[in-house]
Amino acid sequence: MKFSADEIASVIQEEIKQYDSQIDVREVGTVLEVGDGIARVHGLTGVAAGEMVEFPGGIRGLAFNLEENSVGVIILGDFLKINEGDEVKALNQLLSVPVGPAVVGRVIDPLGNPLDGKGPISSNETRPVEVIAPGVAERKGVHEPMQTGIKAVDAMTPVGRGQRELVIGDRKTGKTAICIDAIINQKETGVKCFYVAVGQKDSSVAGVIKILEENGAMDYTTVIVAGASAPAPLQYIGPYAGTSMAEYFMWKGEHCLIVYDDLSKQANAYRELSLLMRRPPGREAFPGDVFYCHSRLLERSCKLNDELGAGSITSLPIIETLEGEVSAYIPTNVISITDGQIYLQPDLFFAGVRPAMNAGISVSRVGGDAQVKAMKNVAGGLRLTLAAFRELEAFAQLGTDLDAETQKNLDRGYRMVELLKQGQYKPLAVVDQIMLIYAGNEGFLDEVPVKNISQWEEEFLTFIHDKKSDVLQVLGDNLNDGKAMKSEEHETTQAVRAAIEEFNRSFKPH
Amino acid sequence: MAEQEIQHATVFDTDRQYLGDIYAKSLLAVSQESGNMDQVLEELDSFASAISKLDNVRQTLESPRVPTPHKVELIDKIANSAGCSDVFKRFLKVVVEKERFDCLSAIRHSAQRMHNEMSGKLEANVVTAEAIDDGLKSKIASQLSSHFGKDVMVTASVDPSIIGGMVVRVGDTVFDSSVANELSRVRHRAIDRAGQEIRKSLDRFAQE
Repeated sequence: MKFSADEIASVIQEEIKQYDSQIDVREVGTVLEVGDGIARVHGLTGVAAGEMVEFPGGIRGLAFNLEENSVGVIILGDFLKINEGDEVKALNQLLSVPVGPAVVGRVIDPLGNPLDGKGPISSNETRPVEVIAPGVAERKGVHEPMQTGIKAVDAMTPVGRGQRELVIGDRKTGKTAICIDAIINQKETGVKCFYVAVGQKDSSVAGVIKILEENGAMDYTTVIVAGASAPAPLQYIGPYAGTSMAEYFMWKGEHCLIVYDDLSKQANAYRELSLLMRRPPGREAFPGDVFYCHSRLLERSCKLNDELGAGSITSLPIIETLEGEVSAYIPTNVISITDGQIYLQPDLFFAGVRPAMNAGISVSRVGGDAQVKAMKNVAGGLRLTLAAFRELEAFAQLGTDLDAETQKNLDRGYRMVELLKQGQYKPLAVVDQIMLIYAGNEGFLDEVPVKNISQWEEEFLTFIHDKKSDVLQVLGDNLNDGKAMKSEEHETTQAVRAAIEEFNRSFKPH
Repeated sequence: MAEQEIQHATVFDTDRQYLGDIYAKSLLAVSQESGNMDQVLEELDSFASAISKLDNVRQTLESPRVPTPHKVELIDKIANSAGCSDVFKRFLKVVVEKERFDCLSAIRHSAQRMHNEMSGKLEANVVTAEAIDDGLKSKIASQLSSHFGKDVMVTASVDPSIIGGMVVRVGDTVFDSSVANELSRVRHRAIDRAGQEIRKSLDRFAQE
């Protein structure tokens, strides 16, 4: 490609012709000290909290602490290029990021600068990073399902559009995997997805982006990266910036899914900033307002009422625990803010139960309202049954003789656990999930050896999709029928039963 | 130049500046009561600039190892020989007794600023590429005075890097009409505009 210098020169010439000289009036201060991503500035008498300031070389900062004699500024860029005595300019605007369709499909940093080498974000609209969440009158209850495509989640801890469902667990328990599956499953639903990576290794983020691309999910996803090497201020504002970008679509009446991966790292970044700013440390050295840091963020995920277009932001915040310690400060805070949690356990993960969700303590406080009726009917008691099975299993390990009824429950439990296992990046449609769970619940798998359950599942789904599209059709049409999959006489129930029975006659375990 | 150095020393130490504000406020209040504010300020000004040149005396007065009675005695001698006002002498003794002599330049700076505020004066610093004569300086001062509605005192300094034009700083507000600033703005706008145009229609600028 060859650029023509004359054309560019003509553009610049035009610009110079139109340039009218004005006196540049600015409010300034002087850098007193700088380091670790923060600067203390003398002057800037009229600056507002949260206002953007500019250092020489175009590096942006955020007025964070307004003190009697100085202003504490967090530096959103390379602080090594700032020197003592530099002039700092107030920009008279709050920190904002570009929003709109231009950010979809892009990988950007929390300030909206592109990181994917696909050119600048050409958006005319911006939104402040810090926005107060919609009030009570502007919202309505969560009632539509946000299908994650994961059997265990959609059946036992259903997530609704506008809900905040925490994904919590130790390192390496598949927290990110659940959220990535949920993003992949939004294909063709029109839901815009945002993946905010905070304090993650750049290699893991690159891996996530690759997976999203391979699964065609980057078409509707924005990845906001403030990696482990990014300065703490960027890690701190990353989630707020991502939420602002999602809010743009929510206020347009669209639906969004946002994943914060992860909020523990963001809390650490905020702790770092606050300690450097000499705000008093509290429990675990976190500042006193770390709860507000997360609550004001997660409150922005909501379901708007019909007058405002009924848009929504669903959020899946991730919290990493240490040695399963959910009673640490940040985990308890976020558990109390969110509308439920998916708790992932390392022992289940290593026993091959993936997703390693602990059915007993994972909950969704929105619950059945966010499920289609048919799913609610088949999965209603599943969580409690599984939790009971876990207890029974522990008891059975003592080696006592069990009566036939108990043994039967135990066997069914093993099959149910096996059935709820699911491969990564293979989200299932809700109709498929309903049929599988129905089959397990109603004892159609009792004769299938436990080790062959996944084979059964795979072949059954192929059978249904290839030969029984009419059953899929009936189930799909009656998803929101209160009696579907509940009453024996209902046409849907009968069709599904017949299909399963027909398949079972031909099934050969190997 | 010496004056600027002192200003920097205070500006860059916010703790001392804070103490300086407190002492300056008290000094102004006392001198206002005794009715010789201008004289006291002048004494403070000349004393501080004299002391800043006499390192030995300054270090003695600042040092915590020298007993306070000795310092007070020294102050007495200096003040008597210079014929200082009573208020200023007592002020110096208090400063020495509280071991805040190191804040003297901060106190001087704060006192100057507060006095200007009280008498409705504004300080403006004018930076130009070449030195300006007194006539132009007073013209600038009268222009600024009519703009702010206050009596503006102009200090001028020279910085060739602004190329041309003038940069006026009043408090924390900068009025920048320098050529360097205009050039950098033109540069940014030209780059932005060229980038926008290229994104809008790549065909116009490039051929395969």
